[in-house]
Amino acid sequence: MAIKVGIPRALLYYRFYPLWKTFFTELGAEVIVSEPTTQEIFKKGLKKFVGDTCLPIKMVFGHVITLADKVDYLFIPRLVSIERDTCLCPHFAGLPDVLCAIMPDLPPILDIHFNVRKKGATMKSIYEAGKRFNKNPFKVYRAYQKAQREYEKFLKRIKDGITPQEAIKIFDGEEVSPPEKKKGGLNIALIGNPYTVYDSFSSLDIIQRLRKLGARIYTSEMIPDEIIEEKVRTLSKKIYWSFGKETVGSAFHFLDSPEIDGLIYIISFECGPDSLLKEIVDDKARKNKRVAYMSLVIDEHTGETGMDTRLDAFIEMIKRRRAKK
Amino acid sequence: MNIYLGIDVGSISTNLAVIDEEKKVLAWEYLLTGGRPIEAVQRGLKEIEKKLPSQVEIRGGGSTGSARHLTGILIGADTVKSEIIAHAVAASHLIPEVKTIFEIGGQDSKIIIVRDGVVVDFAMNTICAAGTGSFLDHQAQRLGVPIEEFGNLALQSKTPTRVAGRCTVFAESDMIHKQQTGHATENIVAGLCQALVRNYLNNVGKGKELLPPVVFQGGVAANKGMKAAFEEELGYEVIVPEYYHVMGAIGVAILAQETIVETKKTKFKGFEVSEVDYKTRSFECTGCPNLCEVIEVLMSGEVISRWGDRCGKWEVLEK
Repeated sequence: MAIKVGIPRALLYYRFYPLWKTFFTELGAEVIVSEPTTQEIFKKGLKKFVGDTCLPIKMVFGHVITLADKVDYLFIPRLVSIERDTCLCPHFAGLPDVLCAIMPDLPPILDIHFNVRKKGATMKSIYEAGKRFNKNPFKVYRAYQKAQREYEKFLKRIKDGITPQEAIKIFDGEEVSPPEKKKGGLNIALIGNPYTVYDSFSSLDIIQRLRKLGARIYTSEMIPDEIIEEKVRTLSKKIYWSFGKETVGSAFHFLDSPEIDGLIYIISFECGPDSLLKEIVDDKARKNKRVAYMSLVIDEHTGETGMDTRLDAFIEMIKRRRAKK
Repeated sequence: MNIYLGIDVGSISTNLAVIDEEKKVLAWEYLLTGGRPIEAVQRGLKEIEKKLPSQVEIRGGGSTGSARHLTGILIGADTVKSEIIAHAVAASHLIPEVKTIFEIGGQDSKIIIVRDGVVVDFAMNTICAAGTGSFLDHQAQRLGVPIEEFGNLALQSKTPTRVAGRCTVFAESDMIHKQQTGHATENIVAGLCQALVRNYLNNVGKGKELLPPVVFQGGVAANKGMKAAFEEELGYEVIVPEYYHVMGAIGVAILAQETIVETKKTKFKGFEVSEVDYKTRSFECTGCPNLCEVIEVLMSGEVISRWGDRCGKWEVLEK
């Protein structure tokens, strides 16, 4: 029987799932993903976490709990840096340890180290992860190559204008009907950490809500890396958070794009990096008189009225501004 | 005479306003929601009907506020709009040159930036709803000052006490400490107004271009102490309009009038809805682990609307 590897549907699942899944499947493992976040998963996560942290990290706990008795291994990579000159928030680096400390009875964690800033470290950690399934380094490397190709395809689909959630569905073989283009509809850009924006439970399904209001959605992932690099170069200092760089770079790009009508920055309440980056985006957006801008801070809310009021008003404001012109 | 009705059902108060074709306010009604929005709307309709001349025809109706969807279903609203837009529309109509709107209600506060009669930016309180009407109400009760007297008392103060304004939990404990060390009530009350204004400008108004004329509306605008504290902080006059407490209702009545220009025919069910037996009930859907709380609205025992489900399967009613 195939070895079962569990991937929590949280954090960087929304960015790397096709890569990870292909890699493990190629090595003969069976990949099991936790269900999309539900009230139950959410509550489990909140209950288990000791101390106070951001919502996305609490969510991981819920997902891990639901996976625990279904899998042989949990895949919780120790992500330090996923590209040169930037790093992820320390929660990512410490996550495998925190999980073990709070829940000692979990299945073994594949906590491979991802740190591209150390030479050769990535290939070494890929072999570390793969050797449990196949001891032959060549086969592990081949599996990774295949995974990278699938991953490139996934990224390409997003660049063509669908959301990461939809690109994941296509990767999993589900049918996705592209949202219909409405004439005179509004183009709204959503920015923020992928795990905050795309977990439809914690974001109160903001994407669907905006679509119902007739908006077409643009996200950071749709913007080519070169543009993001070019935009953040206008700042006096480098942004050393990976997603932060993406958020700010794409925000600047959207503010300069004639087709974008509105920009919404979604922040989870206790996010340290976002609380700083928000100031940079706010400042730039304030000077821009054309693109409407708002930031939404989310936490453990499940009441939808507050979200609706803000989105309704935002869309209505843009429409009225247009009508006046 | 053709008239338009607007209803704003908020957490604390339910407000109704009736305007004529010239957008002149003919009647208004302000009552407490008391956690029962349906009853409040029905009571409000009965009361406002009495104030209207006999020969009127309702050409359109609209609803706003946090219970706008529920209210929209009850009355058959022609337009259901967020209170931010409603407040801005009313303020721009009554004070056409308005550039900034402060609105502090029972449970939330907002700032709306208007340029040339159009909303260009807005913000609402984020995670924390500190310093809104409910908190002032609670403090007035604790200090034994009737809320109506709160503002006048604040104006009597010559040396307002410094009160921590960042968080209402700290503000309350700070106020108690100040009381215990002998500060006079009027000074504490004035200090609290200053703290709330500071908190509002720092959090809700943060980074916004606050240009006069500023219009201050919502239930809290009744508090003269708050108006004075705003003026002191900003250095210019803050206008509290005549209908400050029913601006949302006036705004959505104007929006209903705009809608009717296009749709021609109103969906308004008439004042009789105040007599109809409306009920709501909720149940937990067990179709998936989301366990959504689904709300049903019943008219004379028949389900007329449902919401609250994430997947939308209950929203569609079987005919």
